[in-house]
Amino acid sequence: MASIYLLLIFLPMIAALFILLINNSSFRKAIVFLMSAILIVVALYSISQGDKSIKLSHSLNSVLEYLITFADYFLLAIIFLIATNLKNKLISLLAILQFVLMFVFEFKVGKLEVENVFFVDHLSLIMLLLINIIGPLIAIFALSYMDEHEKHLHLEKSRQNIFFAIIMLFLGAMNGLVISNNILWVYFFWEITTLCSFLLISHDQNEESIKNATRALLLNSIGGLSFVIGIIFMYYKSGTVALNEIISSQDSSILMIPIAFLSLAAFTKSAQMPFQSWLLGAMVAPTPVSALLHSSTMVKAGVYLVLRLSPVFIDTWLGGIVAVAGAFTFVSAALLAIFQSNAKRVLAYSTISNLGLIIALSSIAHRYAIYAAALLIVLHGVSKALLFLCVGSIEQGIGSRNIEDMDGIKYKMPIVAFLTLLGSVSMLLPPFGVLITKWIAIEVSTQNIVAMLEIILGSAFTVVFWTKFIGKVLSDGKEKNKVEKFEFLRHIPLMVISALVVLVSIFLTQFTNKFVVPFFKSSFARYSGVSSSNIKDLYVKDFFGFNPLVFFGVLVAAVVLGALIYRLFKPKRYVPVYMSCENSDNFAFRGEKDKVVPFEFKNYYFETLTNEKTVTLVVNVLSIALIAIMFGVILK
Amino acid sequence: MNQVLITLAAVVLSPIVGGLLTGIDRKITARMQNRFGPPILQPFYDLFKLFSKETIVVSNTQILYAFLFLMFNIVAVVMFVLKMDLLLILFILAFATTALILGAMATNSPYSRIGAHRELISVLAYEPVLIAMIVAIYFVTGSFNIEDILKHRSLLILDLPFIFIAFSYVLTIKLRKSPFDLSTSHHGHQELVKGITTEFAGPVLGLIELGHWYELVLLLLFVWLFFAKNIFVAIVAILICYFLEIVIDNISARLTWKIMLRLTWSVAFGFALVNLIWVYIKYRLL
Repeated sequence: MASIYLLLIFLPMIAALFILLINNSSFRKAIVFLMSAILIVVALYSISQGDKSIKLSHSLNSVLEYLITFADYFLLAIIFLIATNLKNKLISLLAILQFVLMFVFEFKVGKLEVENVFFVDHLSLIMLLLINIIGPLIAIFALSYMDEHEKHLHLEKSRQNIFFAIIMLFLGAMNGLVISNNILWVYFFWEITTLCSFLLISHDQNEESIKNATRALLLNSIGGLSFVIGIIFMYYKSGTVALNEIISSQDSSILMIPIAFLSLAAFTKSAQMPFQSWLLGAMVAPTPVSALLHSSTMVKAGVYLVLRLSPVFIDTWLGGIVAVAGAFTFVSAALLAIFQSNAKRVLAYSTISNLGLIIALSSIAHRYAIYAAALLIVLHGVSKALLFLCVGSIEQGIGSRNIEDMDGIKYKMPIVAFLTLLGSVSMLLPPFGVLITKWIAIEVSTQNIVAMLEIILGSAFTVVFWTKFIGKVLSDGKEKNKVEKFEFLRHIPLMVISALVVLVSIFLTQFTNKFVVPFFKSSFARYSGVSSSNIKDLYVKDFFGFNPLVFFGVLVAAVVLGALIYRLFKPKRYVPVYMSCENSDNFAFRGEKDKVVPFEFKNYYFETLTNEKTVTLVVNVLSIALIAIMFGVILK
Repeated sequence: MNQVLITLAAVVLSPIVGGLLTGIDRKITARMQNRFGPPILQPFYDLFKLFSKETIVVSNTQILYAFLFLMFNIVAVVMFVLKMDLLLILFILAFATTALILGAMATNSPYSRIGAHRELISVLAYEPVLIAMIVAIYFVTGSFNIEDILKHRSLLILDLPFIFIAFSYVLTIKLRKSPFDLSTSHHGHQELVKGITTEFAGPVLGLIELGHWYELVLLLLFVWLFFAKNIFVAIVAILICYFLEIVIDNISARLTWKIMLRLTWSVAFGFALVNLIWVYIKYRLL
């Protein structure tokens, strides 16, 4: 059994090595396909095995222990070198600090062996599902995308080998992150994801991408340092570095300081305010990178850590403040999304906002909050992967990622436009699951009135920016020439992900019962009367009386009814839009002396009210204050 | 069986009540303007006439959105009379509005798109107040379910006077009445081009009109919730509330969206917040 988990981690890494060394397009394609298939199969197999705690043979364990310890220092050295290369003293300093702290710590306490090397519970399984299904699909999409991307850049020598090697490394590291039990190993994989995201963001090697990648590296290095401090405190407070022992620890009060530091690390990785800027900067990278960072890797590592540690700090003051901080990110990122006309920025802010909601839900002491947090990780992952890939395709199709240029996209790129619509509708409307998690969020957040107010406002903002976005995707345009050609490599992954978006929502209760409830049962045994209450009570039949299947049933009925009504009201006549009868056509009117004056109408971005810069400044200050409060609470 | 009957009754009776109230609105408005005004049944004549016209559209999809707007409103009303979850009802109501906005944005008409965006701004203004209202009701009664809310011992208004004021405030926006009839105006006195509904005509416009009537009934049912313990008081309260909306509609001129946003967010949300905090302290902490 252990070999399965080792495969999940090391196989993609080995594949990465091959891809890197052999820069040949067909070989690369073959290996990406092969790896994708293997990853999906292996992940599904490991999931069929359920919860596991894996002990390795003593010798193998020692070898891995030394390997990872060594690789960890090596990794920090690489980051240090990169920082020197970038002439960024701050990153260098942060890398040195991590190195020194880690070294002194490991030197002083000696060997920190953990008996169960891999601790795979149902939360890990949920993450494995997300990483190993969505990740490979994005990689396959990228095969077609990067060919086109490099054509635009006019590169003499393809750099795709580096690109796909990093993606494979990234997936392996994510697998390691979610199944490792030793928090030092988690830290190692955590740092790999930091490095990978730096390399991916700077992939195009132009000034802007390097600048933004540097910022990502800087902010994530702060998180890395915070992680190291968290580990050290954790060891000295509880005498263990094993995650499974920490989350079943009986006295959570002594763990508040390490948890606060680890939460801060999670905030940086999940781009919570005030660390959001790196994720926004990350969109200069080729779109598959954004899709990967936003859906199945990187940012999900942060929320994974918070949800993993949730049993320790839930129901404490720290938990209350983490909930307020998460909900604050939810509302402020949703507000900032309203000002955006760049589709990728809208999506980025929406991700940040949803991650905030996941963090808030993870720290509210309510059974349904934990359920919703775990569900939202998956629901958001699939929808956002779809949306980013669609926006990337649109960008290559029409040469712009601005929402204002998407008029008539439904004529130009019908397939992608429809899938974009599906993706954005799944983030907002019933019967899709994201809505259900938002609904749960409001109902359970009544425990924490500040977080609740934030969620109330954020929920209103969310409706506004998604409606604007959906409105544009559906709107009429002047040009109706189809520019989209069906490409196998591009459209098949998109369609598979779309199918997943729908399937996850349809079988939401089944998914909850199969994956989320067992996670809750095992991790939160001490809380909310889990142990005393009948286990059967934990399973959900529906969400507050509403079964997603009923929702979808109603939807199907409505579609049928709609089709009938449409037949009844079948338009007899088409007319131009109303323009006081001075139309030239639908896009221009007759002005003075019958001169044709074209007009255009843009979405409102509230520029006259305030702007992104001012709002960002205010929310950054407030969120820094919240983090200060978070640390203030734990210090005694 | 009983539930089916209630559902049917709600689906059939709501538009009748909504239409009559609209007729009364037009009559009272006319009298306030020293006109004789149309007969009370005029909205029904208008609706029948709309449905007898031929279907003219700019874009096919408009029909779908108009239909969705109507359906979501009907579903919301039905869920209310079946005493389901208030928050979900509010979400459904929001989707009705979303459908209308998308319908207006589906064509390239500048008038209807301006209307659509103004409607979005209205959503931004009233949505937080409405959710705050529901959460406050939850704090007092301990439930989001109308079924349980109705079991509360006293009139909700006694605990939630400020919330009720805030709700009446946003009711003006929701009913699209002056001074907040930004997205479209029900009466001809404010504008020549009808904003969000500009591009809808004939039976398609009829669907939207019908949807509005359901919406009106649902909003008045929210008023009823505050007085539910006593049916007589509730009816009087609804009538007074509706009359006040008509008066305000007739004595005020339209304000800009910025003023609307500022006023709603400060005054209405402020009122709601104060009330919310005190019921939180009273029912949760004490």
